Amino acid sequence: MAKADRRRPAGKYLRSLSLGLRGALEYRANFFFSLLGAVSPVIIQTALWTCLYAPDPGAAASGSAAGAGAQPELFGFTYVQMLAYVVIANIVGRLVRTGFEYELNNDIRLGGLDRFLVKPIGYFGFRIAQFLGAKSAEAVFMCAVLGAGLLVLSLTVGLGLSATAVLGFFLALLIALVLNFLIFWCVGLLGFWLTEIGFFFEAVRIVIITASGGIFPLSVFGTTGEAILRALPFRFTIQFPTEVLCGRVAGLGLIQGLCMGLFWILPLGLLAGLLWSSGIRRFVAVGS
Amino acid sequence: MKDALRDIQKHLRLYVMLFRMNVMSQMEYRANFITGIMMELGYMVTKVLYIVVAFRAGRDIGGFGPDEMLVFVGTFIAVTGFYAGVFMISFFQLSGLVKDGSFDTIMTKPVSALFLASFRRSDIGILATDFLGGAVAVAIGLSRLGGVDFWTVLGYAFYMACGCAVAYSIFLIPLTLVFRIVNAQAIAGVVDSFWDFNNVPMVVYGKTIRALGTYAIPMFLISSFPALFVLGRMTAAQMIWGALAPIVFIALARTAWNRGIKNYSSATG
Repeated sequence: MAKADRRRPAGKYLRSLSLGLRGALEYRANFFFSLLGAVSPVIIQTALWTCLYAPDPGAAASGSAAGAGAQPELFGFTYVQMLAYVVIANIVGRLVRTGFEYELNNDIRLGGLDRFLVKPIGYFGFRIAQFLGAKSAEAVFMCAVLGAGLLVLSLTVGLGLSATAVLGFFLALLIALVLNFLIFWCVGLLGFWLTEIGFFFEAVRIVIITASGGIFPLSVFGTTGEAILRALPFRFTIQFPTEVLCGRVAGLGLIQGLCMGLFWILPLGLLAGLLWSSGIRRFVAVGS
Repeated sequence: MKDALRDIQKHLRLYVMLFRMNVMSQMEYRANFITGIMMELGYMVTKVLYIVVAFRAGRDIGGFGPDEMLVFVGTFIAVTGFYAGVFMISFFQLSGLVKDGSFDTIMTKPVSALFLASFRRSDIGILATDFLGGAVAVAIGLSRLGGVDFWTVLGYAFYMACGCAVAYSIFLIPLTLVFRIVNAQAIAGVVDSFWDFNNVPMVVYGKTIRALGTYAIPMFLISSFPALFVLGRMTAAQMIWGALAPIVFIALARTAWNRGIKNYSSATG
């Protein structure tokens, strides 16, 4: 088998992918509980938006047009779109979520990285293969949950889905996975310079999720806030795939968005390469 | 009775020592201290976003105006300080201790294992940040609503304390599963995600969730009840349940712990 790996360089990365997959399924109860964690934000936000979109009782009693119309749009979203956004954004947020940055930091801090430097496998390739392997198990279940969620939404509030939206969503999701991996890879590489990380990754994660539209759509930040956040790559990790599946982005907007997402891979990839090459020169394998 | 009091005194003294040790350790590793504050500020921003959404939408939430929302979210932030600063870190580490057998060292100490498993690690940075942030939000909200008298503040503090006791119990009960399934990191994550139910007042939820969150898994007692009290919107039934629930749920948590610990088999042994 080792011979086969030498003949096929991709083989070792496929094995890393399989390691990631097996790692994700090792503690199955833990895995299913982690899926359950995605439910509560959906319930909370659905309740909040249902309350906010509900007709104003005072206005309804006075028979005004505003009361009867019950605010068809808030922050540029109809009620149906907002519910779809809540469900899809939470699932996408879970799907693209990383966790390897802690292992990367440990490898840098404790010197475990030196083992990889002498092995015939690229550390970046090893980590991305493991990440995709772990995600593939989660993706199967999450797609089933997403399908069920969309079915419920279409039956209860009449959400419509097109084949183009589904196809566009999967392409956008693939780009989101790569972008989020690169963003957190760059964050993790800061371990070369920071000797103590503490809760730094968690602090960064919260900011990035907020800036990605993972909690609320970016339009809640107002015109200026939204314009700034739209100029950054983060929205392509959650908001963009979500809006594609909601049907809010289609046609030319979808193609432009996919191209922009692909474009962001380039500067982030370059930044990752730069951080790695300057960081590895500082690496002294203290703990090994 | 005398023995029980002596036991409580012993654990209180121990807690003061553990707290001092944690503060000293945080001062030694300052990055943890600073990044802990950064993390809590990040979480605080996400909680404040809920108020921003309410303000920008220009709508009341479940009959509560923006100032009342500020009291709700402020109370939630302050109680989060207790949760995240006092016992969350220890709870999150429990799974790791059971997994690698380090829990043995806790079992063999001449003090309550539950006490050590719950309060071993604390974080003064998180506690202070959330408590101050929450207190400021509540003070602003209440002053804009016309202020409150001393007895109302006292009642508010009482229901806050009850809320903290309930929070501790309902977070401990599912974690006792760690002795059965070993890797309970995700259970801690699920429980942590339930915490966010208090981001909005309990009146936002439908009848079923409200009933479940009040009596079965009393999430809403943690921060909605104190806020309802200080806003003068608490019913008599809620006042009684709010005071009784801590006794009921602490007893349940203790039973679950004692049963769970019987399943512990040291990984090293």
